[in-house]
Amino acid sequence: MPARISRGSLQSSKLAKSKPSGRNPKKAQKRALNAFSIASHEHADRVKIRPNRLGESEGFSHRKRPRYEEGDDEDEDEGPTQSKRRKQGSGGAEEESLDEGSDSEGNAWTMGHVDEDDDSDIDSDEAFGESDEEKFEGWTFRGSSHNRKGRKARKPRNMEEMDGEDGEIDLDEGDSADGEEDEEEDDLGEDAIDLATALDQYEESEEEKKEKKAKKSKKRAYAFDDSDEEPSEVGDFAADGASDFSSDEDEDESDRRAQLKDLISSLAEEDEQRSTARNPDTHESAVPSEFGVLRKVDLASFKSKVADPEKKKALKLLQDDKSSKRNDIARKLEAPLPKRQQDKLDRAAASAKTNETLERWVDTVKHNRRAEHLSFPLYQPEAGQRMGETRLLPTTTTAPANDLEVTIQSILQQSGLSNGKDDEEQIQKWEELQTNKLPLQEVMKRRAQLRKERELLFREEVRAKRIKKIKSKSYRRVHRKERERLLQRERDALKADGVDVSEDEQEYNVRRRAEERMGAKHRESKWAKGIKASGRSAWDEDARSGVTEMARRNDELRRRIEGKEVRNEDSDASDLSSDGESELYPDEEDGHLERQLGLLESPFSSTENNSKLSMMAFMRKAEATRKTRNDEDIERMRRELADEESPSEEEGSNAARRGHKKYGPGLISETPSIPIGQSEFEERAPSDEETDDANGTAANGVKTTSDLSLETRNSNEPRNPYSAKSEQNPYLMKASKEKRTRKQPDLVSQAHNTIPAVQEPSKSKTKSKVKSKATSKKSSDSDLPEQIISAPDANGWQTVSYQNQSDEEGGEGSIHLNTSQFELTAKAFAGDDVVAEFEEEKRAVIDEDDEKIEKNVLPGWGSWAGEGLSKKNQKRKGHVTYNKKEGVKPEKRKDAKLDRVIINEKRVKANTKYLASQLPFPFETKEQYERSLRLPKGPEWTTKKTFSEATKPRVLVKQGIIRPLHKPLV
Amino acid sequence: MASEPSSKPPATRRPSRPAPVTDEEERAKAQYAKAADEQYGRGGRIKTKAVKDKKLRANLRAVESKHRDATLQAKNAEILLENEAGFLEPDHELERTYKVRQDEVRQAVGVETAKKGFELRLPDLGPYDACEYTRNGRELLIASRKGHVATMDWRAGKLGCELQLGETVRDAKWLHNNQMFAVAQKKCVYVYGNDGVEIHRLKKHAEAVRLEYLPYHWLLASISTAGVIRYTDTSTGQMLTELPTKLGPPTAFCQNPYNAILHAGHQKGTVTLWSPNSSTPLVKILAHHGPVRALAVDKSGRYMVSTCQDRRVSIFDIRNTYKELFSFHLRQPAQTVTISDRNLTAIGYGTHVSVYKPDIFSMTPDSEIKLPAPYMNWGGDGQAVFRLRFCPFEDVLGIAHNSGFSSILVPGAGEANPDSLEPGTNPFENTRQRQEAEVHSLLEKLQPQMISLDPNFVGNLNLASEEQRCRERDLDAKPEDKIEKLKKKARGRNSALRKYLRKRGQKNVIDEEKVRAREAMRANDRKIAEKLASDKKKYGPALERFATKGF
Repeated sequence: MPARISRGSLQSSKLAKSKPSGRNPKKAQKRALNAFSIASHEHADRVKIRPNRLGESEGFSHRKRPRYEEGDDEDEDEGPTQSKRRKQGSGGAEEESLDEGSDSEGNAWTMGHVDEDDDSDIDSDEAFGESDEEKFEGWTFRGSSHNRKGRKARKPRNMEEMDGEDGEIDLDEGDSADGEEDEEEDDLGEDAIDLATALDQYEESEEEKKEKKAKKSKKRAYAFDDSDEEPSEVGDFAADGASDFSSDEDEDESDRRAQLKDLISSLAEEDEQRSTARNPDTHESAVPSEFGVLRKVDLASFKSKVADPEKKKALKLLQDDKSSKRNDIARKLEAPLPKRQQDKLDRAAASAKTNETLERWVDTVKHNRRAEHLSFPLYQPEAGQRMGETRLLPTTTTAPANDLEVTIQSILQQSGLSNGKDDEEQIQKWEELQTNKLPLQEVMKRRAQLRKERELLFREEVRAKRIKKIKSKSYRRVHRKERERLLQRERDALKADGVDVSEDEQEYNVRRRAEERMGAKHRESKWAKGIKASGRSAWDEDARSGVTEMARRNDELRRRIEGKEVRNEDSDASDLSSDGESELYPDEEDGHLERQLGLLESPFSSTENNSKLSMMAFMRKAEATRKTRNDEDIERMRRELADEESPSEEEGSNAARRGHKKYGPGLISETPSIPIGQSEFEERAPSDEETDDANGTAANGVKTTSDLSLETRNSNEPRNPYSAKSEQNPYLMKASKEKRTRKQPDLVSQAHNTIPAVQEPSKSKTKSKVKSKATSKKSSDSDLPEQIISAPDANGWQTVSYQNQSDEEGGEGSIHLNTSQFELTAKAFAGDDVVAEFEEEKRAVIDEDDEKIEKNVLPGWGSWAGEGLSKKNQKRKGHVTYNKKEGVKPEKRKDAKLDRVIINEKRVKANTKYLASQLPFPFETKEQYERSLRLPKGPEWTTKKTFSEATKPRVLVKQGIIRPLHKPLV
Repeated sequence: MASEPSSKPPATRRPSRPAPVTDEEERAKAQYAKAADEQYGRGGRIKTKAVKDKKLRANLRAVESKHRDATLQAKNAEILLENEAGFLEPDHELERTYKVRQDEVRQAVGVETAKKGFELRLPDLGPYDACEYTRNGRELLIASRKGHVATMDWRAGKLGCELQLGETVRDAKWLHNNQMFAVAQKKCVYVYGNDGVEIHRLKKHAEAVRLEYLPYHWLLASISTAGVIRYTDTSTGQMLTELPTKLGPPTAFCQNPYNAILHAGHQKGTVTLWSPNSSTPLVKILAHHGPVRALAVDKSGRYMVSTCQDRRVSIFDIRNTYKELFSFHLRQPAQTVTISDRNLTAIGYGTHVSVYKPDIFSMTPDSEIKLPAPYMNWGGDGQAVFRLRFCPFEDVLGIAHNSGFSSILVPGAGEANPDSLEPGTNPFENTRQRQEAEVHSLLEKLQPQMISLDPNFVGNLNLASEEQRCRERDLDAKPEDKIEKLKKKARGRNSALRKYLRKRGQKNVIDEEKVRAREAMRANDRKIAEKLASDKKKYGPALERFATKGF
């Protein structure tokens, strides 16, 4: 865009030459260059165009300058070209200038137009293409007139493409920018617009323009502004311009713009028709105006050439413009602002733009600032990641990735093991094809079938697992033992028969095995392992044959040994046999009990075929005997197995019985443990016999408990008498006890009444009570816990109070005694009335702390001294003042509502050293501040995690490259 | 059944169904958080919503969330407390744990544990008035009235030292670790090393009756027969304060481990609470009608158990209300009380010892139980009990009685999970760790000015009015005399005065201070010269070259 605009200024540069200003040209040039450099910088992403642009830039800058600065110096380069143009320019100098000046604006216009129509990019492309042809033209012209034609012939399409890009960008600008790139290009667009608007900004009409801006979309406003300069363009708007005519807008403004644009395009058309060579002349021939704009362009000269009525209308408008500045169009064709103002606006726009880009970072920056901890280098998702670190790369690609894979693949293919994925794929494809041929129902049916089968298989598997699990340890043990026993018996039988023929065979087998081991082709050998590890058997023919051979021999041997194994399993401790065993096991495990037993029933069933021994007479005999024995055994075993569950029960019952035996008395002692909702205190209620019993059980263990059990048995028989005793059985008396506890206060009060009477004989009474207790009940009581017995020995009434916890009567008594004790102690301490003294003290303290009004007297103040004073004067004491001394009011004291407590109200001065003298800044209230201090930092008071979090530095710098953030994180 | 009605209106209910589950989860979580907050949260939350300042609000929110995390983590870390404490449990309703005798307990427990219950029969050396365990429970100190003092590694049965002081010993106390202990003797308090060597004689602690040691402040406190409380800083050896109680000879003395306040019991039934910062008691409670016999405060500083001559045992809430929560009577006035780490209360009265479960702290005057049943009992065989102490981190209760010392097993008494991070309380510490802990605790020593009823006051806002502060400020204090201070400062070759004169600058400005400084310096120089001369003279001509400058 800026390029285009600057082209617009080309014409004005001419004007500038004619009216050189007093300003420092170099400075101005510099500025202009800067403006362009900024613009071009922002366009930096379009690499393709750049060289062109750069080539042009010089000229542009020069052309641009005078336009803004009202007649700045002309560059030396320009001089000749311009003069040339002048020469070339025939009578229609205004036309030419018109054409030239609006070159870029023509673009903008088209763009605007397209946007209004919501047209596709193509339209705008075309429009831009046209305009860029113009651009190109201008450039070539400046370079050399010879080249121009050739280039013009060559390049238009190129330029079209490029400008198509431009157009798109402009469109983006009009829209609210979406992508970031678009936004970046937006800057350019806006800049351009600013410049363009600047052209229009006439001081008088500024406000109006603003209104317009507010009304229209930004882009359209820009387009409009651009359109003002449109007339100056007499470019190669040939056929394209005409196409734009079709768009008519409802709004006046846009209408007018459209018309104007159309007009211009038509003009261009004509111009083109006239001659392409003449074009450059337009610049030269243009009469410099005050602002280098188009005011002096005589549009009327076009009038005759314009055929279209709309064009005519537009021209008419322009003509009007010529006559009076105040009409509509004139307002749009205003002089550019003074440079300073323009710059100001530029800066504002630029800063707005920058702010916009910077604002994108605001959240990130805020986030980082507010973060409790920052760890550098910051986490950057893309930075420093290796490929495939986050995303898994496919492990199997169609083509092997490296040499190794290639070789492996080739080996696999050579050995015919795999065609890689192709095989499977092919199969799958084939299957798919097949299914495609089939009708849908068929396929569905097949699938259902398959699913069903799978389901069944799965269930079977599950079932097998369960069955496998069911067998217990003891089951296995029994079986193993049985097996061993059988073997032993067999061997014995054989020995008994005196023949140990198997030795030959055994030897033979052993030898074979040894040979095989020597041949190093058994399973545990290095060779076999090597083969297995390398997987060579897959493709190496030799190796494979070796393996199969090994397997075969292995199998053979094993079968042989198995044949023997039934007879002497323990003798072969070799790995092979162990293998065999391990292979036998699953069989055993999977098999059901019955089958197993069945096997046991005919242990030789499998060996009969293999072993020639079995054919011998003695063997048969032995077999017969064995069989009978085995049958017995099996029968027995079956029985055992059948009872397998029962032992636990038996044990349980046994245990119970044993327990019963052991804890015979405990049974009774357990019965009490029927939960009774009693508190400890309540339990003291039951009669002495009962509780003594309980004590006995608790303390004395077996011996006493046995006694107890006897007792309870006894007591259980005469149930009625027991209950008749009432309150004997605590478990029966639950309800009544509660009542009693409720009654107890009454008892106490009674006791209180009786104290004087009881007091004297208390000791003897208690002693007698103890005695009576001792005599009344069992002798077994004598070895009760020491607390109970020894205590009464030491101190009679004390023991009673102790018994209080165990028996009701005693409790009653102790209450008596306790109350009497209270009385006694009360008497003992009756002398000093502690409470009254304390109250007095408290009152004194309260008075002392209370607010006081002090009377201060300054004797002699305000009175005369000496002889001859009246009595009244003599009586005067002086100045009296009353001071109010702050204090704590009695009702505000901390101990106001607490009797028997005096709390010191004086401030502890020493403590103030550790108090904050004032609320620290950010906090608003005391609570906030104190709360912030409440969480301890030290490792002693918090968990390790909390501690480390609390003491973690705010910024952590770890080793690594600290890169600047390359995009906003939030 | 419960699910059936919900299946009837499926359209409406189905979406709401998962909600209750999450609700439940949420509730469980919230409950957990609440429990954590109650246990580990320190004070209530503050409302952050009302805060207007954005930054402050964010900060406070962060603080709150940190609090929450910390409490939750603390709660989660409970699983690391691998050891569980347990009590003797009765098998049935009628069984009583207090009837279980020590020999039964010893039979029931493991061999190593059983070894912890033992008895030292020392009938000739008189009644043992004091027994103390170190803070980690490793070593034991016993002291008899007749002057026999012994320390021992009681688990190993190794005697540390044994002293026959031949003087009345009233109390003995370990200091910060097992390296030192203080003994209150007839006239003053002595500090002995663990090998029995007398290290210090604290002359000012005259006629101390009871001793207390505040481990975090390194303060040794004593109360004398005259009722004067004295504090000595054992890290510096300086006497801190002397606080006359003015309430006559004390009858009981103990410290509150929560806030290092000392409780003293007096003849007239009052209990006074003291800190070294105030000359008057912070609180005075009329606890009893008769003389207070023994006092003990639980670890959390919430409850105080006091016993009186009138056989009464009272439990006070000393956090907020200073009210009696519960009281009951014993058969004899209790001589000694102690509370274990897990709030088991042992009361020694006459020849008996009763241990009570922590539920006595939850009883109220109107609870139906008037006389709590003890958890365990001991004694009754003629050994008058004088001092009880629970061994930290062990289920062991030490009893000092008139014929020696007994160690009994009280299941559930000790804290099962020691905190090895707290200096001095690591039961498994070795020498190196002990030394480290000593240094650490010395570095982290709390100042005596930090002792207050509320130990969390440090850092809080001073709410005193400016007027009050003005009053507190000592306006009549003499301004500090710089020169006088400098005179006393003797550092290196260049005296402080010389440095002062050199650095002061502006040599031509003569003011009074400078003149005085110069004079003082000259006087000092003269003094030194004189001393040198006199030294030379004293040494004689041959040795005079050995006379040196300086003092």
